[in-house]
Amino acid sequence: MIEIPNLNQLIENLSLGSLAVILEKWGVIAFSVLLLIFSVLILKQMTLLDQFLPTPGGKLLKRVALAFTIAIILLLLASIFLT
Amino acid sequence: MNNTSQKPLKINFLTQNPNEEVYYLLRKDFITNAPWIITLVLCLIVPIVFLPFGEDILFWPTLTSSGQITLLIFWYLCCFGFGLVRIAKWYYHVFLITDSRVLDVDLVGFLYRNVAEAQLQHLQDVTHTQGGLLQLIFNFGNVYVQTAATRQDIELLSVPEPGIIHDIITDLAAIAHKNQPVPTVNDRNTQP
Repeated sequence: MIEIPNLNQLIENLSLGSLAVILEKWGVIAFSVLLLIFSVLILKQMTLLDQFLPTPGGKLLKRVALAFTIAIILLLLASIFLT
Repeated sequence: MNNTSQKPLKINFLTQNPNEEVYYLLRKDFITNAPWIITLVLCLIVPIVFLPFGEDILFWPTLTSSGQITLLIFWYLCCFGFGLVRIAKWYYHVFLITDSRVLDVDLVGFLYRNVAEAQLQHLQDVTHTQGGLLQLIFNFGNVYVQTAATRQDIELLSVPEPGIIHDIITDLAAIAHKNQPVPTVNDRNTQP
């Protein structure tokens, strides 16, 4: 019989509280990924629009969209590694 | 971000023809952004108002402290994303009047872009409407450019000073019908 290390201990420690923490972490990650997809789509659309009608304001909006995407990537990384 | 800029010499667009000059770049009046700006401000102050009563909110006490901070960051990122999309929708919903055509660039739901254009020679009728309290106070309205029956009509919605825009388009269309060279804005301004 193959023994899985720490499986019994894991089941013993599994409580509603720890389940909530795990769900919270994966909920944050899932929501971050959705937000990241949304921000990348915004950035892509901004880039296409700036190509169509290049203006100083459009370039500023594109930079803001890039900063928004970077912020979400950082949040996603933080939610994966720090929680 | 000027709402209306006359003869923007430095403005070019992707499908611009050689020697084609952009006479006017129009956007919706900035006051049309008021509803979403008010919504955004309300969304921004919601956590400030409700956080002192966090104990009474159903799910808030069940979250860990890092979870609460993450949720707050998410909330403000979503607000920021909402504001970014709305300001970009306003900024890129433009009406371009060149010396040969009228273009309407519209963003529907931000991910769908609709570009309609009509040659000045094909314009049949131009009308404008201005009504309602806000339109009268802030002097903006709609200009409808009708082309041949089978072609798509162009609507310049909520543009500032619709009467002047109407006049400019009809003048340019009349000149295009006669196949005369279109005068520059400076020439227009010097005419009595």
